[in-house]
Amino acid sequence: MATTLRAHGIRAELPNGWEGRITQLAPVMPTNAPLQRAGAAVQTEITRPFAHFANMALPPNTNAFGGGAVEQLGAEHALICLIEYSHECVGTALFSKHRLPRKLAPRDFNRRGLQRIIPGQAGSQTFLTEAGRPFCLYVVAGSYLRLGTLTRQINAVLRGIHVDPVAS
Amino acid sequence: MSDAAATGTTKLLRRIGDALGGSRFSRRGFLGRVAVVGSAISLDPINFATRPASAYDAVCGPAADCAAGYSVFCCTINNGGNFCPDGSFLGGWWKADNAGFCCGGPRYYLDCNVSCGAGYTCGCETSPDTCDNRKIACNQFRYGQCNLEIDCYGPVLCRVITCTPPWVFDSACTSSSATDDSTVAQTAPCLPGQCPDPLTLHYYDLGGPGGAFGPEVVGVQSIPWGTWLQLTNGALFEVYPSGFTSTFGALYANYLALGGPNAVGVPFADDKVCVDGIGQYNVYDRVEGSASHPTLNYWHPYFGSGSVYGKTLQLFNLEDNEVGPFGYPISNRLYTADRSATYTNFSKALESTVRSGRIYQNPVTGTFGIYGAIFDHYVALNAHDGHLGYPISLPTKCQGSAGGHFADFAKVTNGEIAYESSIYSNPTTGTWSVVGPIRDAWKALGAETGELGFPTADQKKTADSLAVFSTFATISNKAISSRGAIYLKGGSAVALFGAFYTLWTSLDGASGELGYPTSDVTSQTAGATPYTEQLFDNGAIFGSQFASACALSGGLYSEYLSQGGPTGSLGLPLTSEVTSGGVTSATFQHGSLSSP
Repeated sequence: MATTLRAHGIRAELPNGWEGRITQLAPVMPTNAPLQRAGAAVQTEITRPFAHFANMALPPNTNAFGGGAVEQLGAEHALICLIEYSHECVGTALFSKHRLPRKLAPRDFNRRGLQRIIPGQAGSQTFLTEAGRPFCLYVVAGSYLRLGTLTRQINAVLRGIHVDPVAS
Repeated sequence: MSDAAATGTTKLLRRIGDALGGSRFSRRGFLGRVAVVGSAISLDPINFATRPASAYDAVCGPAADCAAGYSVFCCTINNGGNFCPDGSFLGGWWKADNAGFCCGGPRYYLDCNVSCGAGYTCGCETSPDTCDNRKIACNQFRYGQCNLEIDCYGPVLCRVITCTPPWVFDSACTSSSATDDSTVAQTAPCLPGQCPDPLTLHYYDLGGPGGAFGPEVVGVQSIPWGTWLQLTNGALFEVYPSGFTSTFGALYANYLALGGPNAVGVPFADDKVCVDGIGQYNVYDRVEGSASHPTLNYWHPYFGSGSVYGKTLQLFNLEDNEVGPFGYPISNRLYTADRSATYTNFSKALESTVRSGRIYQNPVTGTFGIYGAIFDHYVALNAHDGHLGYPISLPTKCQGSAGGHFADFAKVTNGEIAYESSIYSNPTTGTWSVVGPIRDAWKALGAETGELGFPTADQKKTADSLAVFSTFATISNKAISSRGAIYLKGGSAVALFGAFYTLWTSLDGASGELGYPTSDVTSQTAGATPYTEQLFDNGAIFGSQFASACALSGGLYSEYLSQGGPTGSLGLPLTSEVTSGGVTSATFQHGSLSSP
């Protein structure tokens, strides 16, 4: 039975066998002592929501781009990361070209297209703007050799993702 | 580290160095390995000594081999430079929180993505001198917070490390955060160890040993205003309250030549480019309580280095610094041979030439400077060692419509001003000096706007060496309209000008019948008739409505005086004396005189 996940203006209809998590971390204040001694008003980092969807159990504290989870991907597994960026990215060359893809083909994956290259895995990365919000879609397939099967599963998830115009 | 600990460490190093060294490795490689081991022990002594792992594991942290899949640190492949190599750009960043490297704060990893078209191929660092064997230009991935205008990119070439928030580190980066704490312990031998001094971290933000500042020369040292770090090509400072500052290259070389922090203090800002876009400068200040002692240090690609401070700096500031008439300082403070004064040399680039200048600081004459033609002439007259002494004014515009500039000078003897002089520069008459009593007499006659006008030569001795003299000329419509001179003989300065001077010079001047002038021109009357008269050693010249200049000398002049001169029966002369056939004669209002 499909599961619906909703938070921070992101809604996902997850097929059977998939689980997900939508997270937004609290910002961490930079601790640059010289800057602070100089009285500089250092802007804090901006944290935005990120979503993870996987056809395996997601480890707690999975990093935005899947660190902590990709190491546990089996050949039959896939991990989808949808990371939102700050609004200033909207309209830039990097984020303007694409909307959220609903269908990825095996050729969209690259064995080197990974934040961390793990033998056998393949990755696909797209910077995009969806509903006026800038995102990076990063998908890791557990096996390059099983991309045909895995992309069908991945696309089923992508088709079920909806982004609200403004984060709630 | 205690002595005991140090001894233990030394033994450990030797043992491990021996184990790693052996005959298979070059000396360079061996030393590199010992350095790696030393770093390992300082970074993580317990784990290194007790775990069955290689030294490289402790130095480079986990997942340092190629197969681990992470990207290499830039300093490993960039000659020690912690910055993006050519052909790459900052593509994005992530952070690891609670990093020992950053003293418990976030550690930032900035990915350098290969620029599209740059010729990098995927590989791994394989040098035996490093344990950072991570991937080079393999991971086709981007974090995406930096340089968002670049949408074409290649793989991650390498990683730059900093404790400074990326959006502060480089304004091309945004602050959208991504976190991956799993990389917190990854490092490389070319990066500093745990929780370095803030100035060292800043040094690595600027590229570290492979960056523009080059390798370290002297480690971080405390100074009254903060700390400083001496590097090969510059120095970095952390000063309060400004924060990080630096001085670099030729400015740094001159900073050291000036004596460094103890002599001139520290920069409270980075080096800056001058208004002309060519030169560079920095201000160093030796702040003591509320007292400021700034030094302004310059470098110009054509003129070299120079600096100004103290009263010279005050004057230089008043004269608009390097954009003013002096231009760039091309020397530091120099002493005169007798060390009674100091001076600084300057050069200013004009449209088709370079103008030189100098500012003197003398306790008797004050702080003044000269430049241009006046300075050139001053140097030709042996500058401060010559008879003019030191400047006591800046170049100043001349009075009147003839244009030109002048500067005044004073000769100092036994700590007091002995006499004053001037150099006048005018496009019509040239650049010449006027000295001492002759200058005083000339000024009394109105200087350049008086009867004499501008000097046309430096003071000279007469042929018989009995006097000195200066010549002058008035200017009308940029041309000389009349000439004159002042003669100084026996302590008395006498001026000649106009028709009298013309006549006198035509009569061979001081070597002629009249000899030297002994009085200035005086205005008198003969009855109701005004006339002018100037006396000479052996005669006089008269001027009146009847004749502008008539010279009488010798016996004829004596006879004229014996008959009452201008107020006598002969009246005023109508001609100068003329000698013909051995007889000298002159015609007067009411008669004539002749002498055999």
